[in-house]
Amino acid sequence: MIKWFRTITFIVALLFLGTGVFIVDAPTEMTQAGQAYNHRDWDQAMRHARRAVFSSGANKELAARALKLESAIAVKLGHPETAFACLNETISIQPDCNLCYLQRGDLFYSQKNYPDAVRDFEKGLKTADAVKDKTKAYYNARLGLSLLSVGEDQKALAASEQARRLDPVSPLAYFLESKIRTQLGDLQGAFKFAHTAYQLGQKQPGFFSSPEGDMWLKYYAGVRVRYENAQHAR
Amino acid sequence: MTVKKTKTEKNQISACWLTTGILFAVAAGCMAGWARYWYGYFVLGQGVLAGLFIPWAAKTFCFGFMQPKKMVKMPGSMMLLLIFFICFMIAQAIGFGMAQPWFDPVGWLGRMVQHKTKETVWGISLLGGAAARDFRMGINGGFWIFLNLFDLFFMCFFLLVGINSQQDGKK
Repeated sequence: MIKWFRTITFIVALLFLGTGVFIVDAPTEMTQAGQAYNHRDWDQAMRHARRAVFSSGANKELAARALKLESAIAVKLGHPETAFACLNETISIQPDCNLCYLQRGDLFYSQKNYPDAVRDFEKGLKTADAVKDKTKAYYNARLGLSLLSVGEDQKALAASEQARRLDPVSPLAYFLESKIRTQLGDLQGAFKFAHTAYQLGQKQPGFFSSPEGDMWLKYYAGVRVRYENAQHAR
Repeated sequence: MTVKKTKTEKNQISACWLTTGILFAVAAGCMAGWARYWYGYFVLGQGVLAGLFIPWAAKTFCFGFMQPKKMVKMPGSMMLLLIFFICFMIAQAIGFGMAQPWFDPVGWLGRMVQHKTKETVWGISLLGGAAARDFRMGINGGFWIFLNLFDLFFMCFFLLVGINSQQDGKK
């Protein structure tokens, strides 16, 4: 009798203790995920976002928000495969999420999968009216770079113009234009745009400190050397 | 002659008990790691439950459901404790890593010690008022290390109790 009483008491105590922990509230989890993200605690932000997804139930909007956050964290921590999975799931929940297509396009671009990047950028930009001009300019520049990589120079030129029109101080847009000029054999134009991009990049904190920024610095140095050699040869 | 036989028996341990003890330590560790990721760290609860469960489950399984035949040389209590403890801790790291979006338990441990992330702790997060407000995102650093050591001390204590109760099988 005593044995049964002890067992039941133990189970009840465990249930009582566990109730507050095992019942997960999706909006609370999402709030905590946001707070952890703001504190740059990626592990906790990821954990709370995942808990929010699991407990979201019929709240698809919240699940999509949590998945987008998961994808952003995965990108920050260098796990593109997880970011892809999260974005694919978000797109399956919200097929009209244009930012999801743009972000997935960015991932394809970073994986050097340019045809898929072009497809996603075009799809995302088609309905991106609500997206900020600066963001649209960034993705237009990315689209242009992807188009250039698949040999669609004329389309790349249009994307470059669009990017510079939307954000006249975007170094990426000017670097894109410089690359197009290089492709077209206009070395003077390439140097002019690369130089402007370099000056704009210096004014943008963090632009040249990323691995991509380093790549653009090397590109600028290469264009500059070639341009100056051509000037000396004359 | 009789004394000699008793001595030999005393220094022997059922191979079944040792094997199942290791298996239960691994299973408990995996479960603890998984639960620790998803639900947070239950300081004291985890250590006490694991410390009591591993030797008890091994004994119940081996002597309750099976007929232990093969006997092996009994390692010292501290050696047995070390075996179960290491199995539990490695399995806990594996369980935690499996619950993570990508397997990185050691990286997480490094970030915890470097104050780059926090761990949710049961009890503290369930409290109301200032404590819950201050620790709602979890704890890290020295306080976290202290709570871990506190919990592991109790786990080792109960493991030792279980191991030494096992020596005298008829108890």
